[in-house]
Amino acid sequence: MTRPRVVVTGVGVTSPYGLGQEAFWAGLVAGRCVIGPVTLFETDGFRSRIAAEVPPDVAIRRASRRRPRGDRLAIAAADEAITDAGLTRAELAPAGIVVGGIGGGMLEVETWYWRLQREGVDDPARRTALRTVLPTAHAELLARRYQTTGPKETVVLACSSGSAAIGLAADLIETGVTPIALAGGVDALTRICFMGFNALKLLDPEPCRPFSRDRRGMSLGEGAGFVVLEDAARAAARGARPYVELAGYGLTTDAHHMTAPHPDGEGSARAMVEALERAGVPAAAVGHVNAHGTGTVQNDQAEALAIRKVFGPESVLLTANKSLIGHTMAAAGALEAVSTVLTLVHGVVPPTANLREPDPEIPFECVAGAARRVRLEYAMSNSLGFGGQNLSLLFRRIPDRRGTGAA
Amino acid sequence: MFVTGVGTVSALGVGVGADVVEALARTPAIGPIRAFPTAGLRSHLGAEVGDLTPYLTPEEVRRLSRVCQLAVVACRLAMADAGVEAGALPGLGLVLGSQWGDFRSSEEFARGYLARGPLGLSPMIFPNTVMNAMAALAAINLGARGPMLTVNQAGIAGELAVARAAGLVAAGRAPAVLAGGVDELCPIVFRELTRLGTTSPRGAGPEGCWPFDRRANGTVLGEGATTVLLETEDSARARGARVYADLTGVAWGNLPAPAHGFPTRRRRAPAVIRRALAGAGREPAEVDAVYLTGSGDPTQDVCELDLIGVVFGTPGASGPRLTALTPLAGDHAGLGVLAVAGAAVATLGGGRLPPLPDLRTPVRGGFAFATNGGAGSRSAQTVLVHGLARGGGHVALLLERAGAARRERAAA
Repeated sequence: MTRPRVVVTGVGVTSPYGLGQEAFWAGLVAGRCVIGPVTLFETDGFRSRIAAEVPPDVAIRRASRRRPRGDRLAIAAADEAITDAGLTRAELAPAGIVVGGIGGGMLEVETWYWRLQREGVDDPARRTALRTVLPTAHAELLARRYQTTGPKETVVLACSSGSAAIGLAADLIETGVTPIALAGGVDALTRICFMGFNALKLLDPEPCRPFSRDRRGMSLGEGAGFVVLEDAARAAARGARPYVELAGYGLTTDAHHMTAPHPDGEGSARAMVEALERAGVPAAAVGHVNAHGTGTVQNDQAEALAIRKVFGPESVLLTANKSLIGHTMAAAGALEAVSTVLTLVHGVVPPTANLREPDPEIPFECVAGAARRVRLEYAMSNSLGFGGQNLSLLFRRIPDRRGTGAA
Repeated sequence: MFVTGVGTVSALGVGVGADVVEALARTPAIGPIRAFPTAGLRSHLGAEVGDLTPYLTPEEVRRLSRVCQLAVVACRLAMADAGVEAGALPGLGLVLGSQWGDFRSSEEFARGYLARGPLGLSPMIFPNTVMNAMAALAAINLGARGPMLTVNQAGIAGELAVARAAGLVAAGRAPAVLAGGVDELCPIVFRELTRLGTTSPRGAGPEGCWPFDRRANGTVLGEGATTVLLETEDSARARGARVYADLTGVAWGNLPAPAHGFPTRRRRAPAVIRRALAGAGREPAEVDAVYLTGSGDPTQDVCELDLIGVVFGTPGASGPRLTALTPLAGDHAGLGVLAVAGAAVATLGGGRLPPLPDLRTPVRGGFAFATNGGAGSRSAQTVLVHGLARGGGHVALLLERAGAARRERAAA
């Protein structure tokens, strides 16, 4: 039986650039790094004190002030994706909702717990934050908001959570479980995450420099990215204009180390090969890889080795969005997927910031300085997560379809 | 898709498939919590797992957090039960469901900072605060290099993990996937759930776990991990695997419901159960027994029975026999997978259906609750595992005797 093709018919973003995919894309293409001092919580005494926060006017909308920050980020992005897809409530009803999350409502629980431990004040109003502390709170909220009846899932694959949600949602469509899905990832900055990466000495005191010779670690960020995926035939039947096709994805595990990638990128390479094989696409057809590119010495090296294994040296153009908006954790894979989708649609690869001197060990051209206009048929987005979780999404451009600036 | 291995760690005991029948025949393992003080709280009962050190290396005892220990032991037991050595199944996948993950480590990590500032932070603890730590450690332990997922969900994380694992196999992403659920009894989670009024006793009455009984007044928490190995027929046959059961119907979805609540009566539509039956080509009348969530939350129990009643009717003794494992091992993410193991090994394989041990006055009539240890029950051919969660999460898993389902398919 032929599996249905899966297309992206809507995208939505809440990012450190603000609300919406237009602000996101404009910021990426301009190469505007928005990593700055953390304001959400105290950072005294830490090696790194910066991150990319979502602007206050976006993150704290009056109508939803009482919701956890992560939920607010998720709602804004998911609403945009659904509106963008032009879905009616009835068309959305059978949708699966697959969300990648890590922190859930932890930021608000931390606020309660910090006060309890430091001042002995057990604020009952803040204690209820425990009801939404789990990562699953986002999917619960969205399913309730849209009254959907399809599969409702929350997946935690560390930094690959958001991209995994997209891939797994595509599986739901390909295997006939549901014809439509809302999928993505969300994370708000939390103290625990910020403290943890500081404790691991993986944060750069300055904005991160992926693929740079002098890179010293990552920078954190926050946000949410969602896409609407649909069976291509169903999308065509309702007159939707897809952005791109999700041609395939690969999901593998290193089974090597809790916090370090396999040094030769073996697991990541398998994920990329799996994505290509399932799409039936040769490696040579892929012109661009949106890299995981955290800026840590180990990650960038292992990922470059993996890309070289799969695509050969100097064969694909790289970019690393994290140099601009930080590592948005569970949202990262989803936001980078959206970036890859828009790259195919507009024919423009956003630049990598802070890349003053490319690492000579990394044999690829990383777009630096200014965005690059280029015609692409296929583009890949990579994610690598703690625990050795590798995810590669492969997108295919749909000629003469949606978008404003196709090359 | 076959169930070929079982590993379980719960208050009922630690073991493999062969141990499940005996474990489910034991008296309920719920008792006063010993691991941490509960003085001053309304709830004091739980179902605790005993000493795990015989199943772990000294290094694992020292380095792994408790919930990671639970996961690793259950995964290892299931693989041993299936006769598979670490790394021997190429592309082995792993899906673990958990509600709370390693919340204990999150608190310990935060306490380090609050006590000593940045110098009090442990880089060793931090990775455990990410919920995929249990699966990642298990994957390293087993050499599982295929797709690995951690599914977070309240109430039915284990059932959802099995459904998702089946989905990975169906999508051709792995020939075999280890699927399980894991949670631990953690002091801060226990305390706060008690204060939020989730656990028994809610309101008046004694503390206890009596799902579907008029005395039900909240859930009793447990802990543990249970995993099952799911394999394609080709994979199982190629290695001559023993088959416990055939997972023939899998469906999961959402019933629109209020936050942390359950769908109104008008919206109690059992489409998920019907999809699982249709996927297996079965009629409701062919289902011999149902393992229910049976949390002991009165609203949830009634909602679950309403869903079952819509599909199977309320014919009394001639309907499928209903049971739940919560009174035996307490509510935790591993319990739904223990139900899958119980359905496969004890009910389909051994003709035993664990009873609801102390059901006196059912909240709904017309159902055939298992109350007598399975005596007099039909020789089961088809068993449904049913999961319902706060917020409307809904899972249905249909298991059949492997030979029977295969013979029928061949005849068709």
